[in-house]
Amino acid sequence: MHKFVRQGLWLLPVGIAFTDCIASVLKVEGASMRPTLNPDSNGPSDWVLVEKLSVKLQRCYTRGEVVVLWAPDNPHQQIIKRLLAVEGDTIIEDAKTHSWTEVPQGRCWIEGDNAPMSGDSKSAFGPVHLGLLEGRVTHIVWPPARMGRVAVQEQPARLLQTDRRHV
Amino acid sequence: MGPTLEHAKSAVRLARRVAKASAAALLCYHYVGYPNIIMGPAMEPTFPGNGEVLLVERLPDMMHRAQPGDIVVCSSPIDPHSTIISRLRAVPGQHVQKEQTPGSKPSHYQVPPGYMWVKGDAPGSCEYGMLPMAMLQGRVVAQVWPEVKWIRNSAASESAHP
Repeated sequence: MHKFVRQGLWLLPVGIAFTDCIASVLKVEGASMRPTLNPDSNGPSDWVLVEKLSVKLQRCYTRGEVVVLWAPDNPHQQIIKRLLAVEGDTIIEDAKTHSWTEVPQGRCWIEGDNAPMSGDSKSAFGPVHLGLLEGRVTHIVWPPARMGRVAVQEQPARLLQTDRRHV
Repeated sequence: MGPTLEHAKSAVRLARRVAKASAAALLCYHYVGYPNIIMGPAMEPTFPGNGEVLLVERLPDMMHRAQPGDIVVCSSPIDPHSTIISRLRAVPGQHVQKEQTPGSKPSHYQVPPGYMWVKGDAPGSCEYGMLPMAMLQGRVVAQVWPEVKWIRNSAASESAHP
C-alpha cells in the first residue's frame, strides 16, 4: 500500500510536466476560428488536442497549421489562430489595398479564420514573436460528432515571398 | 535462463531509476531553477560575459514576482529556442524614457498591457526593448562561478519612472 502511494505521487509532477511540454487538451473559447472551431454559437464548445513537443523542440513551423499561443497583450491568456507566415516571409495584409509586411526574424503572422471577430496579427498585434507559440492544434477531441483532425490550410495567395528554410 | 532473467530485471530497475532521475531533473529545470552561462557584453559591468555561471529561479507566478530592477531570463525575440539575459526596467503602466537624440526634449512612453521593457546594463545596450511578458522565463538570483555572490534587485534605473 505504501509503495503504491509512493508510485502514485510521481503521477502529479509527471502529469504536469506532460501537459506543459508534450501535449494537453484545451477548451476553445470564442468565435475567432469559425467555421474550423466552435462553428455553432448555441452548441457546446470544441475541445482540442494541443501537441506541444514539436513547437518547443524544433525550428520547423508549418504554414497553415492551427496554433495555440500566448496573447501578446495578456500573458495569462492563450489564443488559437492559424499560422499564415513565418520569419522571412512577406505577407499581403489586405487584398484590397495590396499592403504587405515582411515578417521579421523571430516572429510569425497569425490570423483567426473568422476575420471580423478575431484579434490577431492583421487586426491588432502585427507579427508576433515565435517565442509565444505554445503548441499546434492537431485534433478536435470533443464533441464526438466533431472529432477528427484539424486540417492544415496554407494560403499561398497571401504570400508574396516565402523563406525556403522553413517548410 | 536464470542469469538472463536477472540481467533483464536489473536492466529494468536501472531504466526506471534513469527515467525517474530524468523526470526529476526536467521538473527542477522547469519549475525550480537551473544554472545558466552568460556570454557577451550586454550586461557589463554587472557581468563581463565571459562564461559566468548564474543561478536562475523558475518558481511559479514569475510574472507577478519579477520586479523592475531584477535581472531576468527571457525567450530571445529573434530566436525562440534561445534565451537572453537582461534587466527588467519597466512593467505595464510604468513609463520608459526614450533614447534622447541631441537637441530634442526627453520623451516618455508607457509600457502597454501585457508587455515589459528590458534593457542590458551596458551603456548603449538597447536591442531588445519592449517584449511580451509571456516571454519571461526566469530570474537570476545568484552568480556561482567564478565567484559566489547573491544578485539583488537594483533600485529602479534612470530609465524607468513609476
